[in-house]
Amino acid sequence: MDITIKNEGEKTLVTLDGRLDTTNADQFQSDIQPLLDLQKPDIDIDCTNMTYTSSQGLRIFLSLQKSVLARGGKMVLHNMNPQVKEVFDITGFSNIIAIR
Amino acid sequence: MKRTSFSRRLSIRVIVLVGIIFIVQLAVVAYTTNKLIAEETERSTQHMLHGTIGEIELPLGEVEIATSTVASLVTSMPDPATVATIIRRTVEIDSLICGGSVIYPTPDGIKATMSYEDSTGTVHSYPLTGGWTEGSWPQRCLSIISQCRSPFWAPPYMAEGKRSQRVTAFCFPVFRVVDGDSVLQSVVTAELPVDWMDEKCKDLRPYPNSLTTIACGDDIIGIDDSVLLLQIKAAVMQDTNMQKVVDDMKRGEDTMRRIGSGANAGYVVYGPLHNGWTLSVYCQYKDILTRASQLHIFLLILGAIVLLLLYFTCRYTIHRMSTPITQLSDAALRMAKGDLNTQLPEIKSSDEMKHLHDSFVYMQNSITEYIDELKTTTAANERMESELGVARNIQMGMLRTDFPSNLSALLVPAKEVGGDLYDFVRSDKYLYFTIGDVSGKGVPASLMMAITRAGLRFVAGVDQTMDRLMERVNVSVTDTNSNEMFVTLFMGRINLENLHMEYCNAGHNPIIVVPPAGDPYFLKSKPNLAIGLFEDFTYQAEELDLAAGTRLILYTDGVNEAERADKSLFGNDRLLEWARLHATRRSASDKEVVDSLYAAVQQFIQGNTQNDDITIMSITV
Repeated sequence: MDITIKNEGEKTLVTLDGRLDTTNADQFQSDIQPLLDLQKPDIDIDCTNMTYTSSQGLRIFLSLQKSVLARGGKMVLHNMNPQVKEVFDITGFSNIIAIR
Repeated sequence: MKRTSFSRRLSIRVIVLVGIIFIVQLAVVAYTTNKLIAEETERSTQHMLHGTIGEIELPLGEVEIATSTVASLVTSMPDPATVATIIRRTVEIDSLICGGSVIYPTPDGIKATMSYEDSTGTVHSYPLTGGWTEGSWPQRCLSIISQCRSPFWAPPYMAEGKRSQRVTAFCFPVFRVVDGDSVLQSVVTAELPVDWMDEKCKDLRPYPNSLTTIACGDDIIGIDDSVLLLQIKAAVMQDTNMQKVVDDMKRGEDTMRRIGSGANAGYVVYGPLHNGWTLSVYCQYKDILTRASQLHIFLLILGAIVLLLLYFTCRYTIHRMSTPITQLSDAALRMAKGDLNTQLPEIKSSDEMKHLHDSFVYMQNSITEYIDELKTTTAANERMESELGVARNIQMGMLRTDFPSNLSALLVPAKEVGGDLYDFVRSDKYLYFTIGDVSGKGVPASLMMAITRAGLRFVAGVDQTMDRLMERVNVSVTDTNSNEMFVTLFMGRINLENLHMEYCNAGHNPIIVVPPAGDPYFLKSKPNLAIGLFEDFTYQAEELDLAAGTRLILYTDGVNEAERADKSLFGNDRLLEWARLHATRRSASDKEVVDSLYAAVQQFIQGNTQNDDITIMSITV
């Protein structure tokens, strides 16, 4: 899983590329640390190239979401591929995380 | 391979180095001393030569004076008898002169009177008359005088008379003037024995193979060792310098030349006597340098002995100094074999050896500590493994295996303990069943699984709709979840009398419904959130009427997300295809169906490590 974080004005653009599975979930957790330090987060995550997420991945998205909400910010996931979207749908995460 | 000891190798190197230095030094010393000795000897030989020349010339001069005195008397006293008496008297009183004569050339031939001293000291006089053969002494004497017309020293010859003595003679011619011409009147001679000159030559013999000679024209004095002469002559006469020596001698030069080569290399020192003779000394360098050579050989032997002593001393010292290395090496070997507390040698010095020793002690302590630590860690690991084993047994004990005839399930954790769960309860006419998956794996997931199961057991049999039951479970799980873990859970209840199923799916994979006729399909459900996240989440239940003979296949994502080495997933399509082929068979028992799916997953991952817990449940109504 490759992660790119860019700041564009008030927005933070994150691009994810690859699989998010058990083997790299911990790495992903530390890679997104900068996002947890934002004062008033406005995060757009581009999921075009994210091919898979495990339940641990979901958990990380969830904790990120909780952290963002706690700081009064927002976070949106974009362009999720159907397989990944299905996982978000099945687990009900689509209800609590903004996906467009 | 034979091992050469360190001390031996180092000693050999030291000895070779010292040996080379010693030999070079000895060679330089030998060369220099030989050169100096040779030069010094040449000079001293020249001094000796000059001394001997003086010793020889002194009596020669006395004889010359005596002879010239007699000759002057002959001029004033022409009477032969008187002259003969004077000569006899001279022979008697002069210790050097051993004979004398006066020779008159007359028209009738040569007349002469001879006096000589025999071995007893008695002087005999007699006339030398007639019978002169060509080449006899008086004749030769006269013939020389007639040519040079001046006094001369005759080359050595065998004395006349009853003597066996080699002599040389000073010949003094007396001339008188007749009609304006100077005519030879007589020749006065004084004989001198040659043997004393031989002695002088022998005295001037600095070395055993030295050769001292007096060259008197073509004759030579001082030669009695003819064998030696022959040997030396053979060696040096061919030398190119020899001709130069001869030329120098003819010119009466007082000098020195080196001649000969190899063993016969030597030098000739020579100087003229006032009478035209030449005294020469030939010396061989090998004689001169014998002592020096002996000294050099002695030094060489001494050096060899010193080197040998040095070798053994070196070897002993190095061996002694390097003994700790051997001991440390042995200690290392013993340590390698497991004797960590092996005794290390004591080092009293404070050099590199001490440093090595200290490093060794440090290593020994470190290894000991490390091993102790490893033992502790291993013990801890073993304990943990054993505890995990117990945990696994406990977890497996939570799973019911007393399946009724219409239900079967299988749970295979990826690690010792897992986060999947299944459960079923029969209550009156209802069959409650559930399958769930905790996010993550291992111990945290297994604890969460236990909590969830406890929550499930708590609500099982409670007469409420499935959505309310799910909410109760959610509350009990969320209460205890501070770690953002969540559980996807499918919970269903079938009224076995009318086959009406109520169910609630909290974020779990859709279950497969295999109707008695028609294709299997995924049971769509409303998008409920997985439990454990928000305790006030409102869940929605659904209902479905099942036809008799319908089979329900429940599974966790360990099945559809089973992964091959190439990262491809088992997938929903493959899962549905499997259901079409294997779950539709009426005759297959639920256990067979469960095993069949597990086998299909195993076949798919082709020996790849199972990376998630797998749970499968089959229910037939």
